[in-house]
Amino acid sequence: MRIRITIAIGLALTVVAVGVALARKPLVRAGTDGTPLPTEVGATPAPTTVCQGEETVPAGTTAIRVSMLSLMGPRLKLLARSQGQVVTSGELGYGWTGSIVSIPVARVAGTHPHTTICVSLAKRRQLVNLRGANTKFAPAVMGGKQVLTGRMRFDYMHPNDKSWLALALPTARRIGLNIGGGAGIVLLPLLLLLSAAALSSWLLVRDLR
Amino acid sequence: MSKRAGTRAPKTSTAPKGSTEKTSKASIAAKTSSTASKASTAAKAPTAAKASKGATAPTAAKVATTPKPSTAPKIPGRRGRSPANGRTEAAPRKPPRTPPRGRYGRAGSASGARPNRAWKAIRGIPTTAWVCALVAILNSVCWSILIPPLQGPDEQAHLAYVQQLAENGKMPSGSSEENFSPEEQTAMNDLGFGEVILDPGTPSLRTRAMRTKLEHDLSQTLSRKGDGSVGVAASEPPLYYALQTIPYELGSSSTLLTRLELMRLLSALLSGLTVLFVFLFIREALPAAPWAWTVGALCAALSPLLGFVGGSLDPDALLFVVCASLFYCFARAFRRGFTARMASALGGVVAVGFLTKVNFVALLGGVAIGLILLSIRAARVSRREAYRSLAIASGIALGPVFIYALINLAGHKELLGIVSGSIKTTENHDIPAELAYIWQFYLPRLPGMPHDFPGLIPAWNTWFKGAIGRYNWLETVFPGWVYKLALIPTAAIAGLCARELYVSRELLRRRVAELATYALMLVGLMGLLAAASFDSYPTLALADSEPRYFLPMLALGGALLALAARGAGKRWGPVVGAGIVMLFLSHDVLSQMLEVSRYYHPW
Repeated sequence: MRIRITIAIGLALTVVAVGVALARKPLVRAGTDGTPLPTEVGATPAPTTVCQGEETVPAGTTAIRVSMLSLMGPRLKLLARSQGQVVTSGELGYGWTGSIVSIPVARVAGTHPHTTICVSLAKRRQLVNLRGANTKFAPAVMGGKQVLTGRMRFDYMHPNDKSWLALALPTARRIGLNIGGGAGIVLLPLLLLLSAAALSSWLLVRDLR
Repeated sequence: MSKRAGTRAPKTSTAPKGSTEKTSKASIAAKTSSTASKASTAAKAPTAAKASKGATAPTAAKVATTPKPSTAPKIPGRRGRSPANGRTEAAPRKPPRTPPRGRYGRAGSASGARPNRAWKAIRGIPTTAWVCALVAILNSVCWSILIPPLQGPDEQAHLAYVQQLAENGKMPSGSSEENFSPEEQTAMNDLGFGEVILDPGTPSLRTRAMRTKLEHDLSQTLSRKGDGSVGVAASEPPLYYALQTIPYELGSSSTLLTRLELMRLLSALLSGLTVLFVFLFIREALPAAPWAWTVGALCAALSPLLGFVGGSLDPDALLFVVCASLFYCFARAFRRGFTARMASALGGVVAVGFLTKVNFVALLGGVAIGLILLSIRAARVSRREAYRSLAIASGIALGPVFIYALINLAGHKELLGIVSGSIKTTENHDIPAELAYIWQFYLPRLPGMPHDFPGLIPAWNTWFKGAIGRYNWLETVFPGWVYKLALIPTAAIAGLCARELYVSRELLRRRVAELATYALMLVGLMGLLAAASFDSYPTLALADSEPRYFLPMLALGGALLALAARGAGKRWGPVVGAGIVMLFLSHDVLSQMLEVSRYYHPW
């Protein structure tokens, strides 16, 4: 009986965790500076600060994605200023991986054009690649003096107005696009997972009593 | 070893180089009887009673030394009443077998005709093991559906390797370039491969138009032949890829994506086989509490990392099978004797390992020591037999290496082929610096060591977080608080495991040779991963620091989880065991949801 109760509690907690996850709202793009990413505009192994002006931070932004590439990235601190005022700030710990890194920031109340965004990279020995496009328009500046060959891309993220649960059908359609079927195809992994859970529970009840 | 880093990050370049029964049915019944006195083989109860505190040896001794399972138990080992390999001089080579019954063992063939050994062995595997394997397969298939095409670890390179074997009938050229076949290149372009990897903000196929274009392009008559370059898979042996040509050919009339899904299904079957061997290993290593076998094997089956690899086209899937079967063979040999047949099995597994993935060489130190220790124990009974077994195991194991060297010699290439290049790379290493790097790859820096990872704690940032969840190209992660929360159950499981190990310390002392073998295999793997990572340092740090590379130790991991459940005591052990399995199930479900949120989020 105790095994059955343990399994029931475990399954119930799993369902609760799934419910909480589905109630969250995914981050979507509120805006972007639209810089394409065909090339590398700089790279730095040393602790430094990279600043880029002429950005527009939309209202509601809660995370800013920066086109930096690293396999084990350094600690990052982001500060956005507009006309001498701090628009928002945020930081991300060591160990991120990706070609675009998302830094959570304090929610931005209003839209702020002509903002300069500075990202400080903590001490590391490994290169961090700054990706973007070559341009002479307001290129990024590294270490306060080294003008880079172009601009990086900044994307401004905010929570979607719908939860994952509300987005279940479009998400299922997108899964179907990848597998090559309709939205109904998601029933297959769902059934597989439920079968695995049912078989596991049956084994536990059978063998652990 | 996979060189994902180089593939994913061409700008940072410098891809790193180089990159773990038939249980006698009498025995199964005896083990079962240790906790289930209701089992039919009640005559074995004395042995089981001795084994109930985790003792593992008596069963084996009984199997090998006694003409009938019901005779008095004998303890193998140095101070045991029976010889080291578990046999008495007068003992028959094979004990008579009492068909066991019950949930952990099934009756074998009762026919008078001499049955096929393999078939009997398969029939001797308990139903629980098969169900655990089925759970692993279901889990992996589920992952295979959720991982978009070519987004598995280095999947584009592995696909190119299979295609090279299937379409050109030749081994890859050895180039790590990615000049794949026009068919694969088209698929990569249409899938937006370059944009999707490493960027969690970019989902996979987003619109119906993208899918239509992909299907249209792949339906054209595109050449399936590349120039022989297979990217980072170039240095890998061919066995897994050769196996994958079967589903590839089965789907030859369909599109590349269908063939890829068929190949992923084979990987899923291999993950089931891995869990089958994990179960058999735990049964052999920890015979006292049969319920704990289920706990360990189910945890392995529900491991998200196993599902992730088993749901992809990745030679690791076969490596895991090889390593789990290797652990099983060693556990069986240490408990039941180093017979010629067991030597053949061990040699065969090692040979298959050589043909599966370069990473397997990391286990060779432990394998060699294990074989020597087994031989020393067996030599106490018969030196000749011991040497014969050692020769058989070594001969079979090294067979592929000799053949490979001969082929290289005949082709006027380096004697050890691609491995020669890796050896040359290490010749220029600064040994003290490399040792310091290897230490810091896992452990806190010691005074006097250089700061190789300033600001980073690899044990936390890489290994723990990786074990909890860093999927795909390592860019798919849980929110930060999840890792901190995961510390609580992890610490509880570690504490229970430590308690059980402490309680069983006398037994551990008696099995030190066996444990040393496992430990050496683990240390060897740790050393190889760190050393391979050092090749690309300091341009890259912690390359090859992917926890999936430790899944060859899945059998050990399963055994530790089984021990943790036992650590809660007889009364609460099964409850805690069920709780641990539920924890793994929950982790798996949430990991798959993370995968969905990564690739199928709103755009």
